[in-house]
Parts: sequence; structure tokens; C-alpha cells
Amino acid sequence: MQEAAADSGLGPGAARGVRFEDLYRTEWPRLVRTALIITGSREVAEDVVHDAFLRFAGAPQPVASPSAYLRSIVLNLVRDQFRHAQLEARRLDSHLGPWADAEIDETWWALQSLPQRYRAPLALRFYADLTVDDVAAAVGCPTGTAKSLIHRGLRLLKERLA
Amino acid sequence: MTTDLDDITARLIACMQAAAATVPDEAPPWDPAPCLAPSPRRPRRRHVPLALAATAALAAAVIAAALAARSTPAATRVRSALIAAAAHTAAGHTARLQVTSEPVGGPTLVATGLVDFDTPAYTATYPSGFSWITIGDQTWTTVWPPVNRTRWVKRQTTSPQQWPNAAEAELAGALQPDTAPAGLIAALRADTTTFTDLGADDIGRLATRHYQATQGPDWAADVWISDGQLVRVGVRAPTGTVIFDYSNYGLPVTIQPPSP
Repeated sequence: MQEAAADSGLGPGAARGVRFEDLYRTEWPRLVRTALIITGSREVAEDVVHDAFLRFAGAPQPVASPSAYLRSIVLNLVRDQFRHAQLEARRLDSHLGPWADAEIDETWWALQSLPQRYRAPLALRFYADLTVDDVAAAVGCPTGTAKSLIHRGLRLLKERLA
Repeated sequence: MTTDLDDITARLIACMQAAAATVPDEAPPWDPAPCLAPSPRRPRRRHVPLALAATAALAAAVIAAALAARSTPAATRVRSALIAAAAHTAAGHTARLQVTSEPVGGPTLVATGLVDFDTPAYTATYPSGFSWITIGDQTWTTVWPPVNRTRWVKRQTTSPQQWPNAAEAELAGALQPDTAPAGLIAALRADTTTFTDLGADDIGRLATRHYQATQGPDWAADVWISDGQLVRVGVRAPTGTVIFDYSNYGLPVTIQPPSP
């Protein structure tokens, strides 16, 4: 384990309780996909996930649920970075699309036009397939609020696609 | 049991899966160098749109007029020159407009468009295609990001969350008619704390004279005049700076609400 940490360049705290390379290999695609759906930009999503792994490596180990922990770091970074105007501009510049399928294209832009507070719960519920309780835990709000954000997000989406 | 949101949910899932499919299953080789700029840790910004700050300063200037009895002859001359130039500009009725917004801590944004001083009305567009139209106290913008075709929606410019980002919200706020020459004239007639002639200053190849009017430590209007005409007005407030560049006075301009 320590050897893997040294290879990764993460330092001695990185691999306690979990083999970092395995976690990176298995979680990277899932996290980037979720971050992509929330941010709309593959470039931004990859950067956010990369830095989430860096933070994970620096966190006290072992972590009870590395996947959930990484997911919460990603969500926090996305939230932080959305407040960063330069990154917001970059997100708009590197936005995914347009899509060949008109219906997907329209849905994608409508989704990306929603405020970020709705996109994250929608991505976690309908892409990551989390329960509403898990969505609430991931975004750090009560279950009722998560349920309301998901419902309101769908309503807004429907209005924008009408 | 089905609900009226089932269709939209299915459509959303298909869309998310399509987006997810663009990401490969294989992670790139690990590189321990950080990618993101450090998270912002700057002090909380005051959520006061520039227009609000400028308007408040203009109002303060009006109040200050009642108290200002100490204008020097030099200051009076500068004030007269600025009023004449602002009036001349307003008399031009229309102009081409470039608005450069520099919010504190945010990126510089440049929009170009047209202005009708009489209505007053503005239309402007960013390089990204995001556009707005303001006629009197009504504003429309394009939906951002675009959904297949350009769609316009009516906006309340006082609701910053409706804009693509905070910088554009501030820029939109700053484009209220208060900051047009008419507003500037009102402020100048009312007097401000100080007027300064900053001397010759070229804008591109255009020879101009640069004046500055300040009101307290937090607000200043920089004005550049060429041939008695305002060519640039910059308003500085604690939240940032907005610079209006005017050119092609009197060109034909028709600004109408967007088609539904």
C-alpha cells in the first residue's frame, strides 16, 4: 500500500485503508461523468475530479466510505468553482455539445440552463442513481429539501422544454 | 403509477447517459499536480450592482449640491465643459456603444451594441452570443445557454441570479439608463465633490481630454471628451468599473422588443 502511495506521488498518508490506484481507476469515470452532467464541461469536470483525488489523498485515512467521500469533495469543489467567475467563463467556453440527436441536445441545454443547485441533485438522483436520502447526504441538506430540489428541478426542466 | 414528470425524467436520464458516454471508462495516468486554481478565499463581495452604487452616488451628488458652495473657478469651468459635452452627446440621439465591465475579482467582459439616448434604450451582445435589449425599464435577454435556437426572455435586471454569471448580472445592472449621459448631466449640474482636469489622453488614435469627477472615496466618474463630445465614460464604484465607449453618433438606430 505504501509503495502504491509512493508511486502515485501522494505521500505516505494516501494509501492507508484503501489502495489509491484501485480507487482512482474505478471512481474516476463515475465521478467525471457526474461532474460533467453538473458542470456541462468535460474539461472542468476532469479538473475538479483530479483535485478531488488530491484532497482525498491529503485527508486523514482510513475513510469509511471512500466513494461517498470523494463524491462529496467533488460536489464541494464544483460548488466552490461555480463561485469563481473565471472558471464559470471557462465552463461556458468548453461546454459539451451540440448533440446530433435533437431531443438530447435540447434536453442537455435545458439542463445546463438550470441553476447549479438543481443540477447536482438531479445528476445524483437520475444518473448516479442515489436514493433521495443519499442525495441529501451528498449535497448536505435535509431529505425534504433534496426531494424538493429534485421535484422543482424536473418542473423547471419541463417548463424550459415546453 | 405515472406522473406528469415521468416523461421528462426518462428524457433526462437518456440525456445524462448520452453525456456520460462521452467519458471513457479508463482513467488517465495519475498526475499529482493540481489542476484548479485555488478556491476563492477572497472577502465576501458586496452584492450591490454597479448601477445601484452609481445611482446612489448620483443621488448623493444631488444632495451634496445643496451643501456645495465652495466651487473654485477652475472647478466650475471643468464642470461646465463636462455638462456641455454630456449634453452634446445626448443631443446626438444615438450612438454605437461598447461596454467594458471589470467587476472586482471577476473577468473583464466586453459587450458591443447600440444606444438610443432619447428613449433611452440599449442593445448589446457578448462575443459568446449572449445578448440583451433594454428599453426604458424593461429588459430582455437571450436564454443562456442557447436551446437549439435563440430565444428571448423578459428579465428583471434586479435579480442577479437570472443572469449567466455574476459579472454579467452586474454589467446588466450597470446598463440602466441612470448611467447614460442624461444621468451624468444631472450629477454634474448638481455638482460633485471635486473636478480634476487630468490633461490630454489619447484613446486609440483619437485625441481626448480626460476629466474626473469624484464623490467621496468610493465613487468616481472618468470622462474623456473629444471635440466637445463624450467619447468615453468610466464609472468606478467599490464593486468594480464600467466603461462606456460611444462612437458613430447619430447613426440610424431602431431598438425594439424582440419577437416572441
